[in-house]
Amino acid sequence: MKSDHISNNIIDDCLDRLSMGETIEDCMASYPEQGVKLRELLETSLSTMAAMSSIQFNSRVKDKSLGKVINISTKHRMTSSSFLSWKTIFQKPLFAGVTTFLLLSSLAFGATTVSNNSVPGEPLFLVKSFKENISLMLPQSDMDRAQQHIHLASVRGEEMRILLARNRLQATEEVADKMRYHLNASSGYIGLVASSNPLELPHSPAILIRNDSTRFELKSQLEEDLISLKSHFVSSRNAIPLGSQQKAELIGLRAEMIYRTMMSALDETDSYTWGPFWREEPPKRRSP
Amino acid sequence: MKTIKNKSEQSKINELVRSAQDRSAPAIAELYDYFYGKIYRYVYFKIGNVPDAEDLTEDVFVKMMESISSYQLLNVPFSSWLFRIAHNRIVDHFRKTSRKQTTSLDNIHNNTDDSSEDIESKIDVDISIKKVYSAMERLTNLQQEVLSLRFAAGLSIKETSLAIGRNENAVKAAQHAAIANLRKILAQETIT
Repeated sequence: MKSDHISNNIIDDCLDRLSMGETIEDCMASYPEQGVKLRELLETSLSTMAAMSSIQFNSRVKDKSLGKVINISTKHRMTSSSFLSWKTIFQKPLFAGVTTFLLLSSLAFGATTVSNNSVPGEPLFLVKSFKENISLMLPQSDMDRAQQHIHLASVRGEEMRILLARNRLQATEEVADKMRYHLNASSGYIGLVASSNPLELPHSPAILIRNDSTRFELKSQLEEDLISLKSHFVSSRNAIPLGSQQKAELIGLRAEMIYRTMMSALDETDSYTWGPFWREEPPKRRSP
Repeated sequence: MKTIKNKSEQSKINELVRSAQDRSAPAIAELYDYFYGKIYRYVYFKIGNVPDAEDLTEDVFVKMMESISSYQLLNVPFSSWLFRIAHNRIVDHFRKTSRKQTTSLDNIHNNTDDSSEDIESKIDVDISIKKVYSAMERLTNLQQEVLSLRFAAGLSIKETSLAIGRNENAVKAAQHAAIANLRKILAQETIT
């Protein structure tokens, strides 16, 4: 078996050397022990190679076929080649991973973007709520938290407008409660407890934010949101049946009232002058 | 037969394959030009029929262009991949025709373009091819396959082993046995 194996390798070596231009004699010189048997095999190989390589093809047929192959290649590119190339690309793990990540990211981004216009009762509202909760959990200063709650209150205002336009008064009222929650939470972070209930009177002095620019910034934000809320809310209210308009009016006024209460509190230059509907307390939470 | 491809030749083929995957017409034409003769000779020796060999050779390249996007350079050499296509087309051909055609090789010299060549020389060549072809028909399928890929197509041992899915030692052994058998068959024919 060993000598056969060696013979196989010798034949192969000699065939390669013949193909590189060496002669049978050159090969015989390298393997003198193989003798006549090797020579006979190499001669047979050479004549077989010569016979096979002498086969000629018809150049016209070859050229004609090339045209067809190129045409098919072009057609293939225009039809299914894009699918095949994508398939090939997706076989590369890194590309597949990155693409999957980007796809999922864009889907997530798309879902959160679309969910921005969702209202309670819609499937994407869950995404919206989740996103808002995450935004409130992010580490930030009390001022930023206050601003975030004011922003979320304005988002609730937009939801109220949409729900009112659909004549969903019950849902509109529930969202109005959430809006009040956000505005109260915002007040808590800046040391102000506002209430729309005139019976709830202030009972203790507290530290109110003294930074004028901060006051101005918050008040401006509230003013803008209130203007937007009122204009949109009024147009939606006028579009619903007359029987529902009175209740819608009441919901709108309550929402406006808490906005105005906060704005009045922030407008006070004397921190120890209490308004009728608010009191000042230490902030619920302070920045670290 | 040129079995040893140097690195620059191999990298040139790989470069052409990449361009062909991008549907570059010049690259496709160059690949076609490089492999046409090899494929044709291989197919011809398996089929033994010029019109069918021409059609099948064209089919091989059409199939090549349909599948080249899925070919990956790192798996097998391009030549092995291409000859696998050729082998599959030949198997399909035999399946359709139900039997291996033994059409004559009489029209071999009609394929050549240059009609000014020496007719006697052509006849000698035809006789050699005819003898080799009839001798090869008496070899086993594996031996025929190895000799066709090695001598007609010019593949290396490694390329041949990857094209037929056998290890290199098995290919070397089959090559050795094929040449030895061919030697015996041709010697007997000469005596008779």
